[in-house]
Amino acid sequence: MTYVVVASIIAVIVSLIYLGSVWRAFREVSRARRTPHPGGKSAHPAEAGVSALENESWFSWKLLISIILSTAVLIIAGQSASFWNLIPFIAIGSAIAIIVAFSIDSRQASNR
Amino acid sequence: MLQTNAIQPYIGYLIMFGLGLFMLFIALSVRRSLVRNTHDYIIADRKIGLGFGVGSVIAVWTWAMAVMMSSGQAYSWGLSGLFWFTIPNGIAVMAMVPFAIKLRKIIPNGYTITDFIRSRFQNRPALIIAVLGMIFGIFLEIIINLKGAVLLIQTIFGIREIVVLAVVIFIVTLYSYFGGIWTSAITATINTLLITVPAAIVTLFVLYKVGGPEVVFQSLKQKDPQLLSIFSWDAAAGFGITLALGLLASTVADQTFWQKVWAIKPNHVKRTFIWGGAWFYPIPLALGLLGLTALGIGVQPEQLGGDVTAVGPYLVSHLGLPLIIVILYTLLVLNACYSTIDGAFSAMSSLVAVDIVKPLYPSLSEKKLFAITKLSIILCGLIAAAIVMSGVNFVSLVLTTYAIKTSLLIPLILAIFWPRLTSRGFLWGIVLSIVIGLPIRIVSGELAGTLVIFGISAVVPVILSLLTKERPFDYSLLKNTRQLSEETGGIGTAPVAPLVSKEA
Repeated sequence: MTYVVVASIIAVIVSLIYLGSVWRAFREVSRARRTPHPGGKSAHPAEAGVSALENESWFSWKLLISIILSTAVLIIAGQSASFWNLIPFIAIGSAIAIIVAFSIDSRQASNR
Repeated sequence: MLQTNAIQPYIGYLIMFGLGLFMLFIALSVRRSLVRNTHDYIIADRKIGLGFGVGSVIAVWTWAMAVMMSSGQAYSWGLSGLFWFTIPNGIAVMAMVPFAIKLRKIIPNGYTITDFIRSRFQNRPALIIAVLGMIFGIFLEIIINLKGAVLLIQTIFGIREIVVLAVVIFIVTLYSYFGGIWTSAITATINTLLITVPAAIVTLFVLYKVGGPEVVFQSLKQKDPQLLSIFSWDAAAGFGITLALGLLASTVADQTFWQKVWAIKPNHVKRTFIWGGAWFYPIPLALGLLGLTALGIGVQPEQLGGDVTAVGPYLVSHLGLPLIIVILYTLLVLNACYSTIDGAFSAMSSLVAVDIVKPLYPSLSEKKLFAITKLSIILCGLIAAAIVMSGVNFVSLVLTTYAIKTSLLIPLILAIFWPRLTSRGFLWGIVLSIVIGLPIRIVSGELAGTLVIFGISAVVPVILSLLTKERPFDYSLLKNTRQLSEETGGIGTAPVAPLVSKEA
């Protein structure tokens, strides 16, 4: 039951931060939509950031790492039952990753 | 250990309508703040950031059936089933990266993958088959998710199938209508929270309720130690390899994902799909434990009505769990269902606007185009509801859609990366692989059929293209593709088309 209680507490905290991040991001997007671009013409997002893609490689170590880690989780789950109680916590990790993604958006917006 | 929970049907209605009203509230807020025209509606002015991008990719990829199938495959095959279900699913999302980067670079103003096919080949039959493949795929997504919702609500709350279908399709159609891809991205991001967090709590509570993971682990070990290994060939041959190949087609040949490729800010495209695939993994990993638990405590397939996909709902509703845990599980699956259907609606609206209405009526005013685009969602909802409620056995629909999407995959990859691919190669690769591969798939099984479809769709385009002396396609021509004109608000499709055919 300890795991359930701990997970529930973490879940409540993460959910509040998550919803706060969504709300803040929504407000930022709405504000950006209302703010006219200097010069009277809106920025052209399709072309504005495409230069960022020019030297973008398709490969990412994160891709390999995520596959290896997920496979490792399953292998370890087949070795020890005590690990099973930790696996569900990774699902909350997905929500935390999205909070991080929102914080990256926010940081980039404030840098501009 | 198992007992039937007496859960009143009204709770099921409350969850379905409550979640729908919540999403509708968000959709109306989004519409007021972010959606002004067709361009906003179908491509979000290309301003979706990393947070909404990753959140929506995870939610759209987490089908209601997938949520339940992760438990189902673990129940059927043990850890190897979970391995073969989980790993290819994440890879399929991350596999979008090279295609997304390439197409976003060469068509910064793109809207749909079929618009690329039109510009690339200038061949009406090729375009029609690609559009049909996308439309069939979208309907399939909707129908499979509706079936997932029905399975869940019927198993837990005992509500009649037709009622569940009507309620779900009405709710999702209503809120999708109001905001297009912005609504889809924002509601899906909230859906992701309501999938991931409940998944953790429900799984942990189920493990606690059955006496802890040690009980399940030892039981599985006694039954068959192979159930605790990921290296069972049976699971790979039984469904793993076919699923892996099919999943690739489900992302790369799916407008739901391509719409996001062009709607996300360019500097976040790669990271969105890498993160989306990577952080999708925890969902089936956690929910797979429900299937292992059911297997460990001795749930029999007959108790599931022969459908192993129902193992999650069955377990949750027969363990005497507190009502709040049952509600969390229901919310989890319904969120997966709603988010995938609204993503599919959004993709459909972009196809209708860019690939059907605008080419047929190029001088249509923005106001009319916007109205038709929105109405296409209602029409799509009505057709999907009619198909499901007609009681038709949609095995043939699933088979046909699967065959078209699988046959599209390699020609599509070649079209993106190989300038020598001709329209004839593209078209005949798809047609022959369906005509030959589909019957083989029906007669000889999924693995043989899928391999034949892949083989033909790879070999025929290459041979036909090498046999002709057409000049290689110049991808740089696609950069001239217009997008929504800021003055008129109309959508520009590819004006490069005549140039391409003349040069060729």
